[in-house]
Amino acid sequence: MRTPISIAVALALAGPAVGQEARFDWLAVSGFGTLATSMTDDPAVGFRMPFQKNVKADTWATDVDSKLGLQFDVNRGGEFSGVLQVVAQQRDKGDYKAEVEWANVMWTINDSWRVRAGRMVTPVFMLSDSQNVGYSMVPVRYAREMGDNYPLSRHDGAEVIFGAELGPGRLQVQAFGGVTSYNTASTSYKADAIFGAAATYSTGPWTFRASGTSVQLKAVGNSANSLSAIATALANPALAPLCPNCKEESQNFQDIVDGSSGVFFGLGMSYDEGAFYGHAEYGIRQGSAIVPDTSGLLLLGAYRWRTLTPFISYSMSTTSIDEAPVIATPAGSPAAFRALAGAVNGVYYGQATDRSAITIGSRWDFYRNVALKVQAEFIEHEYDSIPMGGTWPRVAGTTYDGKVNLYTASIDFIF
Amino acid sequence: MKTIRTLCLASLLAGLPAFAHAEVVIAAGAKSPLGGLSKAQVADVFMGKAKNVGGNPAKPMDYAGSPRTEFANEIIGKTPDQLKAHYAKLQFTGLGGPPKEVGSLADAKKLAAEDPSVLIYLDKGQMDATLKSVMP
Repeated sequence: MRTPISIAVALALAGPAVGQEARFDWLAVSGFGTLATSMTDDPAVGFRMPFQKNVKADTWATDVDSKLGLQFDVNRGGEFSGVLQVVAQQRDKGDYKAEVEWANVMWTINDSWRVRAGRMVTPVFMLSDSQNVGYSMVPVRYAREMGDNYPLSRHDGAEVIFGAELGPGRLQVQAFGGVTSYNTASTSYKADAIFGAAATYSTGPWTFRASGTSVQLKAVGNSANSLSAIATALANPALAPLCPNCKEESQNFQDIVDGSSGVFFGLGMSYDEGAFYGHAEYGIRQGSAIVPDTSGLLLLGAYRWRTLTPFISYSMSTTSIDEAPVIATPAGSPAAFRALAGAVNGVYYGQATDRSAITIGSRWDFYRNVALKVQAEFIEHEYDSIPMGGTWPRVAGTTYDGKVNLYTASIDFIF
Repeated sequence: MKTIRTLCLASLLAGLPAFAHAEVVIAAGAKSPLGGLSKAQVADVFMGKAKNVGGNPAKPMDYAGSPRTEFANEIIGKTPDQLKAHYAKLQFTGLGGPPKEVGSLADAKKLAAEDPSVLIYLDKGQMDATLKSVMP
């Protein structure tokens, strides 16, 4: 994987001859990528994307943010156009894998209406659909405190886009629907129905956005079998005296196998004028079954000085899970019950990554089509005694004090 | 000899501002219905937000050697790097991209003369009878 990324960096650095995308009358080939390294400063906690397997703590990792994307545009700007985008990055098996993120055909009916069908990244939050393109952002990555509310990426379906002048600005409304699958290192999911809409209003330097998305999600494959087995064990009437809420939890575990719903809402705004850039966003997830409710907040301010863009952000996320175990184990409980309770509590604890983060860093556009970024994130987790998962897995040790710093350096490029 | 030196120096000093700071104008073909555009309207067209202005279609066009830095700074209000980041977001979400780029100003002028919706930007000193200024 390093070789293709190195080639892409070389292409981006090579100057005007190849810095401009290859463009023909009907086909344009372009791409983007990130070469990055990141490190937590605590041996007890690592950092990764929620769909990745590998995680390292207290040592530099190059496979978290590094990625390479290649895009083919057919007849861009024409009445009928097509796009194919393939992105290679570390995924759920721990190795680099190229997957198709965008593959759709768009019909531009007129200046106001566009329809596209095929595969597209789901625009749940403000930067959801462009978060793979590090070059388009000020910080290294879209704050996970927002992004983790909706860890899925894309859907196969259709989208209608309407745009019109409204007052002093322009309104764009996207309505979309489709299906998808999503894999983490431990669980495979299928989303049978994704529906949503996003309205974006821009006037001068201001952009405002509101969105709502609904997803029907179910676990599939071996992970579904494991979750069903837990549901069956929890339904055992013999547990009732020990565990008053086992029946309810049994239903939650069965629901994620049979299909459960999640609803996502986002509100955001950005300001981009001259030297100043600001981004404020709030998002929530209303979960069900074993998927908790969550919320995320992001406030970011940046100031451009020549080719440097220093920034500072505050972000936070909450979940409906707390430190108390969902299934309590009274003293003297049978070992089998303790093991079952451990499995149930582990599923919830793995999602309890409530936290706040202060990030400071800078982007440096030091060369044509290439930006260097460095940033330090100061994270404070709400719960320091539980085995977290997702973006912040506990990897070793039991002495975590709830505070961890994450340092990242990256080179983002387009070609 | 002194006079020649003085003239050379004067020419050099007179030429410096023009060299360091091109005066960018936005132009369309001489027969285009487009005209009297505001900075905000031009910015919307070149940033891919608007495809028409005042009911008339508007198509942004770029060319090799264009005064990109001056255009980005003075008309769009962004640095060229900011503008590239904006185009990257549009391009890699399948919703647009940078304006189509042709090989030279001559090519851009020819296209503007043929297609009344084409908008180009250029140094004021490069205007000719085939074009009309639509901003300022």
